[in-house]
Amino acid sequence: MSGGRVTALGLHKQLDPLFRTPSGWGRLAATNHTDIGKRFLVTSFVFFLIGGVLAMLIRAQLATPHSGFAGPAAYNQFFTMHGTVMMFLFAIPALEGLAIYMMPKMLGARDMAFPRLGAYAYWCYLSGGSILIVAMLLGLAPDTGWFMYTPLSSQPYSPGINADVWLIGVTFVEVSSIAGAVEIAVSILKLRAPGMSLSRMPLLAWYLLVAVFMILIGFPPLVLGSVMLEIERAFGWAFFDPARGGDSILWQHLFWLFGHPEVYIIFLPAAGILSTLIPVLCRTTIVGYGWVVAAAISLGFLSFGLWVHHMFTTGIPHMGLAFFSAASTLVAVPTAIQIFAWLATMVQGRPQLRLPMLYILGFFAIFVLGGLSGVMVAVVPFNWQVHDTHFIVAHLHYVLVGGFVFPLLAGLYYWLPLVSGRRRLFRLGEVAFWLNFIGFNLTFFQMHLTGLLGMPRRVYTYPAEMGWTGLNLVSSIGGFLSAIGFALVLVDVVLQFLSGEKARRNPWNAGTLEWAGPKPPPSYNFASLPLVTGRDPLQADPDLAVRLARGEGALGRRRGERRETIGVDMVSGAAEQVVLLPGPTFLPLFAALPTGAFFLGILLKQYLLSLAGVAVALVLFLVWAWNNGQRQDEGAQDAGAGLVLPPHPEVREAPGHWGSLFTLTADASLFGSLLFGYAYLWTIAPGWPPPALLEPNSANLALGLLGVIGGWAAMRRATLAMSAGRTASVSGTLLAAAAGQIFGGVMLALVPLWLAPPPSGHAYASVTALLAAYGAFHCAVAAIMALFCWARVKRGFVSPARTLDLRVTLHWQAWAAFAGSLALLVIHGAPWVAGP
Amino acid sequence: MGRGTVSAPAATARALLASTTGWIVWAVAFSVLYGVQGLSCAYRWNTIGVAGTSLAQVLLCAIWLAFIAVLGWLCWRLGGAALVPGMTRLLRFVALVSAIGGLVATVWTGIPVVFTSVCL
Ligand code: HEM
Repeated sequence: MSGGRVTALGLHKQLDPLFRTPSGWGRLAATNHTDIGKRFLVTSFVFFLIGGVLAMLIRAQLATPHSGFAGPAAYNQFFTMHGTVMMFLFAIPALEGLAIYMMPKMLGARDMAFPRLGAYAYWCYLSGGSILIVAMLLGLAPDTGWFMYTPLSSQPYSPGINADVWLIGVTFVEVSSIAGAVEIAVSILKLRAPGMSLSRMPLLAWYLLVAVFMILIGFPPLVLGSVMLEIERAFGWAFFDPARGGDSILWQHLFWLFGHPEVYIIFLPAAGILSTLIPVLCRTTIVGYGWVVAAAISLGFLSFGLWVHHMFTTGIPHMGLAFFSAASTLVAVPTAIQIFAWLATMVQGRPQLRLPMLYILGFFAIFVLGGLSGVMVAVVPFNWQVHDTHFIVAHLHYVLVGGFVFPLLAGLYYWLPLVSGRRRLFRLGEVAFWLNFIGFNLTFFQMHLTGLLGMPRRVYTYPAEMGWTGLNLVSSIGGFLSAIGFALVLVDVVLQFLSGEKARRNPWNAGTLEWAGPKPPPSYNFASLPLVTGRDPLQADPDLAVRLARGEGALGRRRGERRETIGVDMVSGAAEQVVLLPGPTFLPLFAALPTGAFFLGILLKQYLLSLAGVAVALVLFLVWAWNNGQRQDEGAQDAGAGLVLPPHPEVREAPGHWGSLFTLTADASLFGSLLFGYAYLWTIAPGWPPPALLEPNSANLALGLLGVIGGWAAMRRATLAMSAGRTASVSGTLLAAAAGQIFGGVMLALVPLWLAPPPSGHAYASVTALLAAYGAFHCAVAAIMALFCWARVKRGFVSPARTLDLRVTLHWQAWAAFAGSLALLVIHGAPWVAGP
Repeated sequence: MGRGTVSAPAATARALLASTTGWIVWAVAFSVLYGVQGLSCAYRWNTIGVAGTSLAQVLLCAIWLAFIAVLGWLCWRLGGAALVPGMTRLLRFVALVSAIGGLVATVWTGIPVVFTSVCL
């Protein structure tokens, strides 16, 4: 099928069948990033509407004193679900959807690095979200607030299934978010157009990169906290129960270790949208590109130093509070740098007051106010006064709606012509903007005042004598105005899709690559990939679109059934490999189903169902991995445009290599949080030392260490031998690696089963058992992977040039060895150090 | 740019890491200070007198100053660094901002070790 030059239409006819999603049932097999991205975005918008309806119920209830609209039980579910839906089911998936849809188009690639993982993330998201919504319709929604504080959410005080729904549903969605984050990080770093160095990368990609790394570090603490709380609720272990050596404050630490970065995870992509739109709408380039990048990275780090500022009233010593108060004031600096860069860009350029710009101006007004109230609550004594009042509700909505919803709407209107291929006909959008802007301020400005007057949040009603009535009524009216505004936005969007005129190719005169193709974008994005030489490729070469369509860039041809895109060096953007992408497959859906069965089994206490889910999912993941790779060496080949590149299985820096490392990053964050929990309980929790400690057993320690370290050493040996071409011994060594981990895993499993006191007695025994379980689980994973490699070697998928399977397994073996050893040392060492 | 350039994975990884080192050091400093403060209170190191103040405070100040020294050294090194292979001007700039940011953040967030009581 390769050969001489073809026309643009001919090339389209070749590539489209290869990349497009099949019709009918085949849609369920979609892996194409355009479809997956759209699904994420549309689904998150549906959840936004659900969250919005809940907000209206809240405002209806608070409009008048002593309202009979909803009782306290229903109201508790309203605000808990409103917060949960907005934060977990709307904001994070919306940003991942934006990334999945937009990144390949902006960076000049044909798809994401792991299309099947994106599809899997989507199905997990949909299922987890549905669990929460179905429970709500059944009247079983969680009702202890979106941060689920213990002991209120513990078994004795929330005996029903409601809290479990939250823990299970949210964890399921977080698995999806982490999977999405891995995919997005690798795609941004590896799948760009040749020549697009980091310095030439669009700012949105930088922001998303920072945000997804924050997801990788920030989400695991909450996953861990949820697992601990669910185990405590279901099996009676003790992590947060002070009567048995646990500590409620540990939950707060784990929650806010996630929760505060979460706010910035939401804000950063929105800032990325602003940094993309402002220069284009002001017909100039961004001022201070390097500063903006540095500020985004700084925010990413600093936001992890703030979590305790949500806990200023918990009795933590002053010095601890002062650390976090200081860090909280510091974040203002990088935020200010960005705002000044945007203002300077506006001053330097010639701003056009088009619809996205209205939302940008709205953002400035609202977000600055949110920042000011933020500085106020960062001051500890003020914080003590307004803690848990409507002042906080006002502050958080100024930040979240100003900092996320308004920029998102700006982005929506900016990119809609790209997605729909059409222009807006009516000026509905402007009317909607004013309704949203006025409605928002009417709703929330009052809440600063009601908060200062002492109106507590999360309380379902108030007496008329308090003098809060007028303010609340205005607030509710404002809420309904914004509801009408959002409905109009929806109508506007639907009308554009149905009846808009065809849009121009590059309606905003933007310089980034997403505008370099036909609209709506074809399934393969680019008929051939551009060679990038600057930050605004389209501005540098206005004919780029035509030349790419004619196949004058790289990979401008079809080769059999291969779906190809180019992988680059992460920093320089030098082309390095041809990445072969998988096509449509039902595997992600089929793998999400048993994952769901696992979670549902836990929720309904049907543990056999959970076990079956794990087993089926494991088999499917092995099939998934088996379908990768190739069985012969191909060597470097012509990739068009003067590039000669090897296929990705034959290079060191294949996307899978980084995917594995980034997944391990999240895993390490979880392990770190677990160690933090262990140390925290040991030093701070009441009711220590525990009544019974582990029986010291040096044989268990020594044999365990021998197993995990020996396994890793064997794996390393196998990998080195294969790379050096000494293939004869590899199979045997792989079996040894598996055996070592199995042995080490058994030693770890023996700790709770045999050596330690029963885990339900005291937090010490619970956290020891969890640590051992973590180690044993990773030993099992490493052993299975080594066996998988053994089979792959046998079947010819591995050669001295194709060692990706071995190197990825080596990562996991190394981690099993490290985490397993550390777990063993802590488990055996701590009682010895602290014991009698 | 682009064609045929041999990529150097190690240099790439190093350049990426360098661009965040300053902040990573701050994160470690912050965690260590918070952790040692917790330990001090748990084991009552604030009640052991040393040099006119408590063991806890001396320990915390020492840690704080040590991290400031490390970050100061990092700033000084990066300030005059030439472009090594794999490093771009943007990343070198980001690395320098990280180092300076990390230093300022460590000084600022650590000040409480001097002025506030450890365990009240
Ligand atoms: C314009 C629409 C919105 C309205 C009218 C609204 C209204 C409210 C109100 C009145 C509360 C306080 C309930 C109480 O404490 O008694 C609340 C809580 C909350 N809202 Fe919104 N909200 C809106 C949009 C959003 C958005 C877009 C987000 C996030 C992206 C969000 C996140 C939250 C969170 C996290 C809480 C705290 C829930 C809790 O206390 O557990 N809201 N909202």
